[in-house]
Order: sequence, then structure tokens, then C-alpha cells
Amino acid sequence: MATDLSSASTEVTAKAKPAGANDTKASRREVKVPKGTRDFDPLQMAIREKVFGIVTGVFKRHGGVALDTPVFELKETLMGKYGEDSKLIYDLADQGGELSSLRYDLTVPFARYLATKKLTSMRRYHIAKVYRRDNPARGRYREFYQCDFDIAGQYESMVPDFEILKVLAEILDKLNIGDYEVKLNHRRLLDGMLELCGVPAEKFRTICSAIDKLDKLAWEDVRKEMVLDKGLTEDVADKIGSLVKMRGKPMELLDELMKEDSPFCGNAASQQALAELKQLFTFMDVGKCINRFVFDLSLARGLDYYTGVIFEAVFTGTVKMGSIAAGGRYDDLVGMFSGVQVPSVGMSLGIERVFAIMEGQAGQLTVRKTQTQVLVLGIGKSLWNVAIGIASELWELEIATEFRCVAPGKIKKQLSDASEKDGIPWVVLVGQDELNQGIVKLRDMAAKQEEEVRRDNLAADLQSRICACAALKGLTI
Amino acid sequence: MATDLSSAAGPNDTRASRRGVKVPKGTRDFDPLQMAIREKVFGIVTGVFKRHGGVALDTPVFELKETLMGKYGEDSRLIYDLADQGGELSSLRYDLTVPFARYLATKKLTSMRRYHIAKVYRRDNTGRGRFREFYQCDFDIAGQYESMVPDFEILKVLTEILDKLNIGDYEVKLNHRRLLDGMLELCGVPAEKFRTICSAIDKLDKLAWEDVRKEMVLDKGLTEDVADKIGNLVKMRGKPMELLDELMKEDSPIHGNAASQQSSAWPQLLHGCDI
Repeated sequence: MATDLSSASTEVTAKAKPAGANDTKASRREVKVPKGTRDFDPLQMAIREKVFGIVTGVFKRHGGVALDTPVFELKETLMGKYGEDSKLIYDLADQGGELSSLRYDLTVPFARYLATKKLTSMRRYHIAKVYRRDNPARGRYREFYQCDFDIAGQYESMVPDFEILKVLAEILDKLNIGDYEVKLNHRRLLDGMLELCGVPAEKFRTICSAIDKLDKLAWEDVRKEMVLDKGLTEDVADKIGSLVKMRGKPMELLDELMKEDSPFCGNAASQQALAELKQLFTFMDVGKCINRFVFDLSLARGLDYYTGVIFEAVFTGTVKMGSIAAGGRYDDLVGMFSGVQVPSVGMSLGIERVFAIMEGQAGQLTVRKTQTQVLVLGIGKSLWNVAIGIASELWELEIATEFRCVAPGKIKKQLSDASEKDGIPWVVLVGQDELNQGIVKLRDMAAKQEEEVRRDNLAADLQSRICACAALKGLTI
Repeated sequence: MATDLSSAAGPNDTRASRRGVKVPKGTRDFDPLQMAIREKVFGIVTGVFKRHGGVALDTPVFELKETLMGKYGEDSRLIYDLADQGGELSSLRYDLTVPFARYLATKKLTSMRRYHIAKVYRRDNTGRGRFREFYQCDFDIAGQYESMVPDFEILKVLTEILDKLNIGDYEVKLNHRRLLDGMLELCGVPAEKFRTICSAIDKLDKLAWEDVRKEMVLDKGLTEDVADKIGNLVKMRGKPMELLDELMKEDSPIHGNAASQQSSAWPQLLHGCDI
């Protein structure tokens, strides 16, 4: 797998050295990443690793298995799945092979995987980047991470739906980045609601689309759109208005809606949905995750492939950042690939927003770029062999170690960088004097103490000190 | 984030359900067992990288086309391009080294010790275990340091990883570009043929010397005499310190050749490895 850079130098230098006609142009112009994409620098990677650790922990504790799929799918796999958003799909160039496109989400690849492997059940998580040719001006990336957890298969009604919501709540609690609320609704309830308000069936989608805007627009504007653009009568629009404003604690609102005088009484689709929600809320209550949830009749969510429960999580803190997670039940998707229906329910976490919040908090967190435990400092530039010898003993014991030799005048800066910039807890100082005496100086950077340690005992000594520190902090190395 | 699926069945529905639903040629899904293995392997590899002070880096899966142009010689034809959909032209990354160099330039950094574990993309022939989408794990040290110290550390990292992966005996072959240059020079190869002759020498791990010699003489225009001189030298291999001592003797064929002497820094490198 060695990269054969036949024309360019294999040395990595500060500036890329392209061979060829665009040399001077490149060095004059800034070297960029494509629009809407970004590099993750080491600090961002450290945050990312921490977040993924939390998220994966919850997924695994709920019996999830990991899955990974190719970054691009056959074009025909993605066609016809995303409605109007299909124009945002990145295509690969036609270079003579099969036409392919970069994946737009992780749900369609999951459905394709189930069909490819002819599976009828699976509980999988998938953390990976997806690609959308969206408008970067709106603070949206074109390449961004999603963390998905889905349960596919035929189970007792509402049990997997409950578990998805439980996983969502656990993750948002453990990420601990602020107060949040999860809005809940049900596709069939919306269908039933539109039906009893008098909306013609062929307008259901477009009216749901309008309702979906209520999180950004005022009711008056949405009402206007329904009447003027979408051709509803004012009467029908008003009926919708009186229903979609209903929101409240799940059990309480549910009980309201199931009363004999409720507008939903007698509407078959609504009754079925309400029965399912009752079951779901009962599970959530027993499963201790009902607190952050709000039953909200205005939640519509670009509905087209959802067939049951739908939900969306938003932060309620001072920073309004839009939704951070969403999902629902989608029973008909897998069948589009394989002809065999595999009912599924899942969630997708918009982890980039979580990164952004944590990066903003980074000053308060202690996230180190490296995990180096020991810096071996040779005093005087002729001691490389000595420094390497010590480092090798430490690596053998799997102790994270960096080494360098510097002139005596530079020691002070090395020490202050080690503790302030890099957070390295131990420094081993060795100069010719120490060598002659068979010792090294060991500095505990946190305690600001230095002592002499025998050279031939150094590795074992450091190992026990590091273990002791870790035990104090309740960590494993 | 929610996927808006059109509810109407599309025209390709029944075809899809009749035909097996596939991934693109040369790509594959990782099923849960493969993912568990992968997680274990990445854990081992990342552990070594981190213990050597490596920091993680990630770059976009595609770069601007101009970033990748002119870096891969003949292999450029294997690069996946994104379609021209009205924006900047981009291509999927071919390796992780060019993106690293581009990152250093973007951030105007003059040193960095980074690791990067990610998939790369090559429109290569598939079959015999070759994929078009596959993982690479890279560790690079960029910057001006004491001669041979980072080179030593890269090799140390490599051996630590191969040891910890514990999947069998292995050997690491070592050489030096300038030594090769010097060797070809004193064998009498014209400078403009250096690259193409190196290319031929590179095939010695798959072909017998007779075949490579034939290629050098018949296809690449060397005299038999020159080819034989090359043959004498390239067959040399042995324990690092021992062969090095041989080559540094006064009666060694490379003695007195300037380019080869540059690799006299080698004693330091090898001594470091010895430790």
C-alpha cells in the first residue's frame, strides 16, 4: 500500500511541491479544501473521539452491532428515495464503469444492505460521513457525520420504537451539553388529522410540508401558505390550526385526545395511532425516559417514508441550533429494494452540532491532543542514543513516550510547553552528568517536584507511578 | 437529517427487487464480525501511534482536482472524479499523503507528527483481493529534526505495530534512494534512465533476475555490461550493520561515490534501530 509518488518528492515538506505546469499558480494561491468540507485538526479529533466513544457506548449497551458500507452506492440505489432533495446528491463522474453516487444518508444504505444480505432483522449502528450538495452559506456542511441506530424486523408493537427513544435520551443525557426536548408525533395521527379537517388526500404531503415549517414560521404565515399557495379553504386551515397547536406531556395530551368528545374520535387512522402511542408512552414511562419528551401535533418532518412514530430532538438552551437528532418508523423502505417488507424504526444523530457545541466549550474541557505520559529530554544534542534507549524501554511497557534532545538553554521552554501546552505529566531529564552517575532526574509536572531515579530502574519505577496515578483517578491506561 | 423518501413507487422498483441489490464493483460492506475485527486492529494500531506522540487528523474524502493533479504519475488514470455538477471539480482521495501535504500547506505548518486512518479510492482492476475502496493507516513525521531521528521512529512504530498485530513472521526491507542513485551512476546508467531502471529493479520481488536483466537490456537500452554490474550490486542483502560495514570498506564498489556516501548517515539510523 506504499504510495508511489513517482513524480513528486516523497519528502513531506511544509509546502506541497507539485510537479507540473500549475506549480507557481498553486504556491501563489491558497491551498484549500472543497467548499463545504473541512479538515478535522487534532483538537477536533480528540473531541470527536470522545463523543463517538459516548455514542458508541450507548449503542453497544443496547445490543447494537456495527455496520459499514461503501461511501458511494450505485446510482440506481439512491434514485427515487429522496424526493426533491435528490438534486443534492453528489454523482461520481462517468469514467466508463457503473454510475455511482456518494451516499446521502445512512438509512437507504442500511435498507440496501438488508436486501443484499436477505436479512429480515438487524439491530445496527453506523457512524459515518454523508454527502449533500447543500448551500454552505447557511452554515451547512456538504460532508458531515451522522450517527444512526436502527432496529429492523418484526417485533411486539412499540417495543423497538421505545428502545430507539430510550437510546436517544441516554445519548443526549450522557453528552451533557444542555437541556433538550424531544418532540413526538405519529404519521397516521397526522393523516387522520388532515382527513377529519377536510384536506383532500392528494394534498396530504404538501400540507404536511407546510405544517413542518411551524418550527420556523408563525402560524399566520403557514396558514397563509396553506390557503393562498396550496388551495385550502380558510375553514379547513383554521381546523388544522386548532389541532396542530396542541402539545404537552405525552400521557396527559394522549388522554385528552382519547376522550369521547375529542375531535379524533371516530377517525380510524387516528384511533390506531393513538392506541400505538398509548402503548409507547407506557413503555417509556416504565423505561424512565418520558421526562424530556413532548407530544406535539405540529411535528411533521418531511414525512414521506415514515409510517408510524416520528420524533425530533432540539436543544432548549440559550444557543438555538435547530434539531440535533431525529427519526421514526419506516416500514416500507426495505421492501422497495427486495420486495420483502422489513419493518424498521431508527434514529439519526446530527453529531456535527454536538461537535460545534463542544468545540465552543473546549476552553473548559481538558481535551489533550496527545496522550503522552512521559517526555524524555536529553540535555545536550549528543545524547540521542541515550534518549532513544530510555524511550524504547518505556514503549516496551506500552507507556506513551516522546523524546528529544535539546541544548541546555532550551530546557526551560521544553518544560513549560510540556506542562502547559501538551499536558504531559512526567519529564525525564538526562545529561552527561546524570549519565556518569547512573541516574536520571524525574520531574512530576503536576506536583512540581523533581527527584533522582536510578537509570536501570527507571522504566519499572515510572510504570508503577503511572499506574498509581491512574488508580487515583479511577482510570485504566 | 430525516430522509424524505418519495412514497410513490419508482419505475426501477420491480427491476431492483428481481435483480440482486449490489454494492459498486470493488467496494464492500463490513458486516458486524468484520467490524469487530476492524475495531480490534485499529485499536492496536492507534495505540502504537498514540504512544509515539501522534495526533489524529482527518481530511475530506474528496479534494479539489487540482490538489491531486500531477502527483501520481501514470497512476493518475486510477483517480475517481466527481461529476461536474456546476461547482469546483473534485476527486476522491487516492492516498493519505498528498492530503497531509495539502493540510500542512493550508495551515502553514512546518512540523507535525500525525496519524490518519481512513479509506482511499482507486479505480484499479478488481479481483485477487484488490478493492477500489480500502483502508490505509498512515503515520508521518513532518518537520526539520536531527538527522535520522524521525526516520528511526517511523521504523520503530512499524515494527511495534507488526509485532503487536502478531499475525506471523515478517521482514522489513530497507534501502536508500541516494544509494540507488549512486549505484546506478557508478554502474554507468545514464541519468535520464535512472527512474525507468529503478522501476525494473523494483520488479525483482516478483521476477527472476534473468527476466529483469532482459528487460533492462532489450526494453530499456542498457548494455549487457552495465546490466551485469547492476546485477552484482542489487543481489546484496543482509543484516543492516554488517552489510553497511561491508559497503563502507575501502575496497567496496560504492566507495568514493558521492551520492552513496550521503547515506553514511545510516550508521545513526541503524544504531537507533539496534537499540
